[in-house]
Amino acid sequence: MAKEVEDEDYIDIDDTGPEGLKGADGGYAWEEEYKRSWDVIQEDESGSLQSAVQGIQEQLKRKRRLRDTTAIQRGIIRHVILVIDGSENMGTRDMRPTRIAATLQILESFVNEYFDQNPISQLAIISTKDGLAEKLTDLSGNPLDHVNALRDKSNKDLAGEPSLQNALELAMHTLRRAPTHGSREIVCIFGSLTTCDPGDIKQTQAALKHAEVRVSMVQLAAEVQVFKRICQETNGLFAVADDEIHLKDMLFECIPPPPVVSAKATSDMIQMGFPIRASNAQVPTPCVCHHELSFSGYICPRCRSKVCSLPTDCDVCGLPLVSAPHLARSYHHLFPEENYREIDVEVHSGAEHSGAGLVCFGCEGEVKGAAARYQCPRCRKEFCLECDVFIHETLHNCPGCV
Amino acid sequence: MSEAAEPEASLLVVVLDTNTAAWERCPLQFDRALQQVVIFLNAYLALKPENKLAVIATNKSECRYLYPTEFTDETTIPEMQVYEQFRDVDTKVLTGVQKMIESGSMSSDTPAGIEQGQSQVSRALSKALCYINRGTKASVNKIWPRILVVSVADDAPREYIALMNTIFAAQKLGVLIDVCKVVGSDSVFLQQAAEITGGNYLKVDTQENRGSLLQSLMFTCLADHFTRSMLYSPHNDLIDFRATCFCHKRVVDIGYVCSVCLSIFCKMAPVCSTCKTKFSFKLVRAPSAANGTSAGKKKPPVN
Repeated sequence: MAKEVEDEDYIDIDDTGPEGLKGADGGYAWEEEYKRSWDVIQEDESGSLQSAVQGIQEQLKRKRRLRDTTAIQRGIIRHVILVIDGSENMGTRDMRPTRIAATLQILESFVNEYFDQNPISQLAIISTKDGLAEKLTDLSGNPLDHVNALRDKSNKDLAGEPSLQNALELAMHTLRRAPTHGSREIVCIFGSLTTCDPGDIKQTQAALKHAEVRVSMVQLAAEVQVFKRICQETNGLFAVADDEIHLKDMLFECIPPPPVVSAKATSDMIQMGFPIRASNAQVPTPCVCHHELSFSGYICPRCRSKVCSLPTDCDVCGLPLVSAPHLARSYHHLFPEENYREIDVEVHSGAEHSGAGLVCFGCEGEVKGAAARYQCPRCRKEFCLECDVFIHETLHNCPGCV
Repeated sequence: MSEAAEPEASLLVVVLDTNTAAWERCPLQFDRALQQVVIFLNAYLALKPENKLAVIATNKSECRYLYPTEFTDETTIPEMQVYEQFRDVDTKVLTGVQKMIESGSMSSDTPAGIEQGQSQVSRALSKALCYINRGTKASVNKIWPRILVVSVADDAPREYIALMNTIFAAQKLGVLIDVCKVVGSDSVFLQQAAEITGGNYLKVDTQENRGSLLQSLMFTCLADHFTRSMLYSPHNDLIDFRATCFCHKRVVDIGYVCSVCLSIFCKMAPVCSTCKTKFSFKLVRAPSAANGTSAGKKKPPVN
């Protein structure tokens, strides 16, 4: 990059001191940026850093909690393919202990969280190394299978270069069988800056766009134009992860169901079975899913075979088996809680609660004078930050409105 | 659990249903029941000095914290014979309930959709979870949270979604929900709450033995997380997770679910009655679909 241009820019903006290039402390202007990151943290009266750190944490929380609450149709029934880069580039140690180890660990929690929030959705995992793509798990709704596949040690055997095109083609092939009422998504985690493809990846991009598959990618190294373009064209997200925590945040953005934009998406009535739990039998019987003997299980209402956990598809007759609470678990995506408004403390304290702390409606904790408070636009009850985050991220219920 | 030598403290939130209309139907008088609940609270606090307690009362029109509150009653003289914390809890709970009943009988503003014998259980549980969320985060040591619902009111169908949300939030936080149903029919919602979170559901037979509420509370709800792993808890085999269809309120074992709003129907329909979505013509079914053959099963009707 042209360094001179950068310097000139700086002079233009910060041309205040007598020497132009020198900042207030006598250092060069471009050095100041390094100081600022810790200048923000100021000790309070007692000499502790706690309040400053708390302030930064609050900012982070607030950033996360603002959600889109407009009523849009969301694809509750999803089909997501995870693509993991297994190339040598994933062995880099910029994430601890290595990129691949950090990724696999985060993906484990991703899988659990995904099925927690999307209980009637499906997932598959593909790994790409040595220019090939390989399916680790097929589309299924059982989180245990996927977690076990991720824990497989052979995932850490890295080799050669990845092939994005092969991986996308394999993912598309897998998604072809998915019914039209469900969303189709691919989430890639790439540590490599190159891809070793057999053909023109632009054609794959066009095919993905045609099939209305949403491709999202989290890059661990840097932004690559061809990857970014594919994500943009297919309405997906593209992000470059700074560190492990950022990688987790970026991946977890793919967990809430995306809005339906596809013109091809159809609405269907899906036949589903609501099995009864088999009561304590005298003799253990094998289940059809793992062929293991057990006393309890769920009986498929159509073919009377026994499966050991819900939600799943019956292995004998293929009927999707769920329980009523699984469906209920998805309702909060359909009726999201409204974001609370932040109340300006100065304006507010002048009106009625002069100076005194306010009691949070949720946890009955006192909101200290200076701390921000949040108001539900519907019931006008006020909450502390802790409750606000909890209500919108976990509970999905306003205690004042229900 | 390697910390067997020193099990950590518990955080118990009691949701007390004070719906007077429902208590009137109960053979156990409310004041006697309340005494028994208070004895249970004292027993819980006596179990371990670090144990934390909160009490939330609910009825058809409101929901408030009884303990801990800032309010202190100066008129009562400290008794030498009574442990300070017991006295504090006892007076706050008893006067709180009294106030609630007084204000409840004066005001008649019931939120729309709630009937006489129903209470705002989902609101109380939401508050309880907010309290637990803050309590567990603020505490330095590990603290095991759980909720006890002493319920008398009937299920309010409009609370279903809210209650389900609270149940899943509780499951995520690792909160056990114990339910003690004192009067009336079994509460289907609360049964599911106990089942999903791993707590106990108890239907107390107050008809025959009037002291049985305290007995049941002591035997099933007093034990902490750690002790429970060594106890046989009352087991409920009959919990039914089958769904009820939205169209006829019938329990279905094979249903049809709208892919947009997840409403459940017992029959095929061209349009979803909840979200007004028109369905594509073909019924989606599994590849090797075969109609149910056993007797009493509803065959998919052709419209």
